[in-house]
Amino acid sequence: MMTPINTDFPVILVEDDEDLREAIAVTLRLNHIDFVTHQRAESVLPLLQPGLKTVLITDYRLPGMNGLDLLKLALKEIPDLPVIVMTAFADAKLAVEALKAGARDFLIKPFVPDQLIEIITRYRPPSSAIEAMVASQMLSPLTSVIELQLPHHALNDPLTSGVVNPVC
Amino acid sequence: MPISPPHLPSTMPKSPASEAEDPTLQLMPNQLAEAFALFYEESKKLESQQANLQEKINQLTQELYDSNHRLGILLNAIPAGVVLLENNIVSLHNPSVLNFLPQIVIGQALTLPTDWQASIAPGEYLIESPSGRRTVQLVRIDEGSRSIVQIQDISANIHLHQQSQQENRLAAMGKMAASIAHQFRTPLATALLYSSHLCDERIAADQSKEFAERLRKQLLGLEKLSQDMLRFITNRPRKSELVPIASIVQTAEQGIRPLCEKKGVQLLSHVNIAKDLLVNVEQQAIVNALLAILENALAVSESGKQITISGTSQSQRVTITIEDQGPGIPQTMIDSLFEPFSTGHSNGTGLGLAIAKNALEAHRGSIHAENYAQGARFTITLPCMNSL
Repeated sequence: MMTPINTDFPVILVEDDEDLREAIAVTLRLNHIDFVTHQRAESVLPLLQPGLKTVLITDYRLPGMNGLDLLKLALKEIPDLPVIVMTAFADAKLAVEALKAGARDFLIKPFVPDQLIEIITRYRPPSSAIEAMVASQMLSPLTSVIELQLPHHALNDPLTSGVVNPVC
Repeated sequence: MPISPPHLPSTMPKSPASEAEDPTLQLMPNQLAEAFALFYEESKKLESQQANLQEKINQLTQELYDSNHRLGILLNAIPAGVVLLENNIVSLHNPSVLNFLPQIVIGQALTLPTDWQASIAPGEYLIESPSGRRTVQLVRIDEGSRSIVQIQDISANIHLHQQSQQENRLAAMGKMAASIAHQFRTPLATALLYSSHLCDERIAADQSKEFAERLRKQLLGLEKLSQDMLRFITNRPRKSELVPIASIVQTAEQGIRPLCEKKGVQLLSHVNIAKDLLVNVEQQAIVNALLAILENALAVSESGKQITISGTSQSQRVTITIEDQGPGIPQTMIDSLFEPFSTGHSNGTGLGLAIAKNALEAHRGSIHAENYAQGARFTITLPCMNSL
């Protein structure tokens, strides 16, 4: 059995239209969000390993395998992967179909940058680095209190040692 | 030299009458009465037969008169014009002809008014008048030195045909609602993202300029798409004119050649059509149809490959083929190739080939696609003009 590994991964974006792909890339870059882009669903399949922590945003209509099939395959590998389906056709049947298949949300084309960023930040799982950072930040006042009380003992912090600089 | 009377051979058997001087005088009175009675009887029979025949003749004459009368009523009543020609001279015509040819004169040759423009099909003419546009069809039947010319107004038929074609296209569009949404909203999404960034004050000036450029490109694409969509729905020849088919092919070639050179694709032309062979078409529509096929061919051609245009003409029809050396048309697409938004590649509006097919069919032409050993081959045909 494959051991799930906690892998932080850039946001995965699947869109066949070159111009829209580039426009979304620009938007993500301006908002300092790491991402990888793909033209086709098929090329995303090798990335889908258990434990992958990211958001997958895919266009519904793609040449070859469509977004819905990609969604199903992705959730088979990673059941808790947040998948967002982009579509130009706001059809109720399609929405129900995708939500039934496990899509976390919808992005109806056209959308403004804020909608895209909001949906990514809402569903993107906190990266282990950020988790560690937040934890260390929450811990640091506590640590200093303890350090004050125990001035001669450096506290060995199991959460932060070797991961991030606890000072930040 | 006098001719001697024929000499009867002595061996000829002698008839009984030859024994008397005049055989008729030898008849008995009762025989005479008998013969007379017989003759009288026969002549009575003949008389009654003749009376019967006369009656039949009268009856047939009446029938002929009636049917002529009916034919006359019919010819006077029908909206179509009928002209009878003897050696190309008008000998008879019905009143309806005056609706089409008010200047027709019995005893003179049949001539068509100068404002009758040849339409897309042989024998069809367009007449523009302040009251509107009419399409008239002329059918000529020759029988020896006689000809019958029938003239009828087919505007209503043509209108109905166009209407049903348009309804079909609208129905096709209805089925394509999802594709249309995709086709419009994807560039719209791109445009909306860039325009939003342009409103963002944190964006540097040089970046703004680039975003504005990209926004403009999307807007132009959307404009072309809406234009194509309208062209697809309302496709019909607007103003047709007689144009040499060779020059139409040449215009299309000139349009695509720079793009071929840019991509390193060789464009070969083997157009074997007389320079003065005319087609009656809306020129730009046919040039666009050829360009759509050529653009398609170029999109699937790699550098170093060839695109070949050939043209031939055969009795009243021209055939133009465009062959590429690309991967060929996928089997799954060959049936739906000319339907809107069926193309495989995401550049272009997805309407080019659908519009090309509409345009050619509106000109009574055809388009056909197939694969051959080295790639894909598109064949189009168009009727060329012959005058009546």
